[in-house]
Amino acid sequence: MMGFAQRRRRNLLGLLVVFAGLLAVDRVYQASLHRAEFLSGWTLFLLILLLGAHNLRKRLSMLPLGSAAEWLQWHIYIGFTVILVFLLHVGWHIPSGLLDTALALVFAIVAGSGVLGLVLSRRLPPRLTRRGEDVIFERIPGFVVQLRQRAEVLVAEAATETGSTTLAEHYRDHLADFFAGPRHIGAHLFGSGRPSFMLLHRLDALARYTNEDEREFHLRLRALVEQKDELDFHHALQAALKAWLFVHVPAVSALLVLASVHMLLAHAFTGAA
Amino acid sequence: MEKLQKFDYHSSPYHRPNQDWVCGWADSGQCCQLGPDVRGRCRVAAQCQPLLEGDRWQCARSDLHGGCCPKGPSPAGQCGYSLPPCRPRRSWRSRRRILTRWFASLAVGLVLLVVVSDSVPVLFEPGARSAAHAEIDDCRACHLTADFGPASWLRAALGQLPGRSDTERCLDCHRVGEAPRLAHSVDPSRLAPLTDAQLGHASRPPWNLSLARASFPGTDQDLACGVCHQEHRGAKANLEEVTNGRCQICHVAPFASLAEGHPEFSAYPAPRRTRIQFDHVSHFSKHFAEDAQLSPPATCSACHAPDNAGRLMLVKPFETVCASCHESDIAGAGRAGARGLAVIEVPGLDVETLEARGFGAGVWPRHADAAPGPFLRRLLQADPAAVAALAELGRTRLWDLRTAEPGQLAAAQTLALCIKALLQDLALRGGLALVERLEAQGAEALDSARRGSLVAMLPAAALSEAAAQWFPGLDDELAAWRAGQPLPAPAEASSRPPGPPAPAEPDLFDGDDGLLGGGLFDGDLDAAAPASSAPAAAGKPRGHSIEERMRFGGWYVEDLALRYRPAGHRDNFVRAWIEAESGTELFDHLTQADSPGRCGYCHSVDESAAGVSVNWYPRMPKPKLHPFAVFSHTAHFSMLGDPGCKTCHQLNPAAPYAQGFEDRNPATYASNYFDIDREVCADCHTPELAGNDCTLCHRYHIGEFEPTVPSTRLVDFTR
Repeated sequence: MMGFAQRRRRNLLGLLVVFAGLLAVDRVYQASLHRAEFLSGWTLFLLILLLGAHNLRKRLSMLPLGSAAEWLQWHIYIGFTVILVFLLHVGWHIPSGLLDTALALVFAIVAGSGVLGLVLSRRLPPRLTRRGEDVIFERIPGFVVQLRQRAEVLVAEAATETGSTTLAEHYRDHLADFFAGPRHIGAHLFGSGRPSFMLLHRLDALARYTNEDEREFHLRLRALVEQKDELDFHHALQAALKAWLFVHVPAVSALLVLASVHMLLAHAFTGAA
Repeated sequence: MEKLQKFDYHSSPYHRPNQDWVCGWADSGQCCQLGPDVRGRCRVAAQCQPLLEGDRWQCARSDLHGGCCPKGPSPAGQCGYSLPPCRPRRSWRSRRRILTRWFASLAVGLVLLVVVSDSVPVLFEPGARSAAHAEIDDCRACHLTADFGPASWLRAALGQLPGRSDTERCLDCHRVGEAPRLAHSVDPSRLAPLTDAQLGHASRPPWNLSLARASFPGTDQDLACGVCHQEHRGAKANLEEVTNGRCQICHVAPFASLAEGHPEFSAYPAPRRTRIQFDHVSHFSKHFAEDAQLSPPATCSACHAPDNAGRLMLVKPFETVCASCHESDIAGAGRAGARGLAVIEVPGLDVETLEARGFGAGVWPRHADAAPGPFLRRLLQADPAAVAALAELGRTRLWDLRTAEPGQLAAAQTLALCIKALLQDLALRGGLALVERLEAQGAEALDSARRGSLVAMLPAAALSEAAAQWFPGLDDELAAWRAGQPLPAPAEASSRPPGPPAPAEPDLFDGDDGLLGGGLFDGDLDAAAPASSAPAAAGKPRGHSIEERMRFGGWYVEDLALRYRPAGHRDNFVRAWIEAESGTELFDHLTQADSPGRCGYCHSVDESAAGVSVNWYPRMPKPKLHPFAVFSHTAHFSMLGDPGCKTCHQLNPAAPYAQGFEDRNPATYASNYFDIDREVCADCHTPELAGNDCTLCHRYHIGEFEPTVPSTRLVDFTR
């Protein structure tokens, strides 16, 4: 059984071979009296259609066309190939026409979001497994509500049983907003623990003003804050794993439309040469 | 820490993330069991939907919501715990799908908006046009497709539109020869020999070119402009930029670079002899070295200067570089013979034999001894009788007819009278007679400028006076000849030997010495005047000889000839006659190296299928000419260093330069300089230094192209 690293090396090597082959074909075609842009353009379009077939494959899961994981691998490597073909197609220059510029921009968005998605899908899952509890993304808002309710019950109980409103006031002033919903998304994405550290630090500092009865409530509240922070962490990372597709997939639709118009124009205005 | 996520069936709600709509209570952790319908409507009004078992309704509330309730359903089967309806929300998947549709719709909408608007050219133009085409704001100027509009784009893409192609529209403004769609814009038959010459050339082309040639062989037919010239690449784009591979795709012997595989230069930079015969070796080693008083040039730039484009090194004007030594040659200094051209010279005639054998030709100067000159023979060409006589006489010497046949004697008589008729004609009608005789033989009428140059203010008065001196009784003789009557005896016509006009003849120019051109006559001829006038002449101060007096050029009569002395370099008369008489005996006479004016001493004569012509000018820039190879001298000046011109131009002292001018073939030639080797250029012209692209030195479209001139109608100016 081939390991991940070994498979990646093999695939990268294959990708390099494909790159070299494409560059060679482009150079050969450039040396001929044919328009290399048409070769690279059609190649680009067909490869984009092939990449789009990945989404179609997921909908036709009943067909024996290989596993989704295999399709994803092909999607990734063909995606990199498409970037090279695109660069060959535009001659390593930024297009200057409005339509072509828009097309190039949309392509850049698709390609960029794809690369970003690849990076996120490689970097975030290990981080998710390392910290906190495995939770389903769709259920996180419900869990947030659960934790908020627990915290509110806890501080109310503390005030009742100890007669001190220290924890309740602290919750009102500093933690109510934190428990209101997912927070610190950016910080969690970039691996920063500063916001949650500040919350806990402030909560810990409160300990000196609590009596012994309050201290137990204080510890339980602290545990809830930590749990909520881990929930936020999972929410942020899982949201990122889904959000990039909100750029990638819609941009592909615009890309296909603009590319079709571009191809029609290219052929129409050179067909009567 | 208590776990939040539970995966068992009883404690884990199902959120249906793959459906378009999810329960609105999901975010509170209390999503219903059923979920919204496909249109996003909440379907749940109570915590459970009781099940009918037998005749009893059973509570079906899930464990997730507390399990079976103690109260149970009503007898009608309704749950007693109502739930407020939720506002279902779209799942992430559905939101993404909607966003995708929006993006696609937006793109389609924008495209349609552009298509139906007038902004198609602006928004769909694939890129800015080059600066040369920036002013063209109508797509139809270049594109056939633009004639039809967006509805026909698909047909256009399939090449099914009728009309003038894009290439034809390019050629409306760009003239690139008669065969613009053929390789190099020339007929393939012209390229065939060049192809054959390269067939054996061993070369190692780059790998991509080898593969391209094997996969996509080039063609020399029907090449559209757009194959090489690709527009819409920005204002600063170079439309003439072509890859080296594309240049060589059709060539039988492609190569890697100038340094590797490029054919050796052939007779470069001089594919033909110089138009002006100037022997650099003899001038450098002999003339300049031996006569320092002439202040010879010290540098190449004393005689050569670049043209406006910086390409050719031109020869500076004659007055700058040649006149100091050669102007006196043109004027005839040091010349042994006559310094003027004998335009009309009375030929020698064996009068005694003619008269003795009954073929008298009237009065004839007895000391005339010249053969009929080329000018005279040319002017007689307009007279059929003279032409026949000359043909009959052949090589017979007119001044010795003792052994001539009667037919030749008759021809000699006719020729003599034709000469007299010519003189009379010229005397009476002057330049008009001369022009008419030329035009009688020429295929086309001469324009006024050429007429003026050919006549060069022919002094008819002087000619009339000379004719009267040479042939007293000319009019009577010709009248009798034309009437078919016997010529008057010489004694009757004139008992005098040839001399000044007889007193009885009307003196048309009496009292007008200037018009007569009194100075035109040589003192020797004056001396031959009758004795009666000798006393008056004796007291007359003698001046310079007539040739000396005419040193600045012009007509004069000397002895029995009317001569023209060239007025210096670029004499219009001599040049006009040379050009008018291309390829004739007179042309040969005038272009001899020692002919008066000495045009042929420096100006070479080229003979080709098109005819014979004199190279009046050294190599000059030809704006219409698009040569295959181009070179800019000025671009190289700054990098020559101390060797200067010698970097490329090495003198070849052993070259038989002068031999190249012994015939009229410009290709038989030995330059004063060694041919330039390819390596000289290849030293610097590498990709890293000066570049070695094909188009750096070569042009694709070759030939002479007329520039396109607007066909503006004059009436449009007044509208």
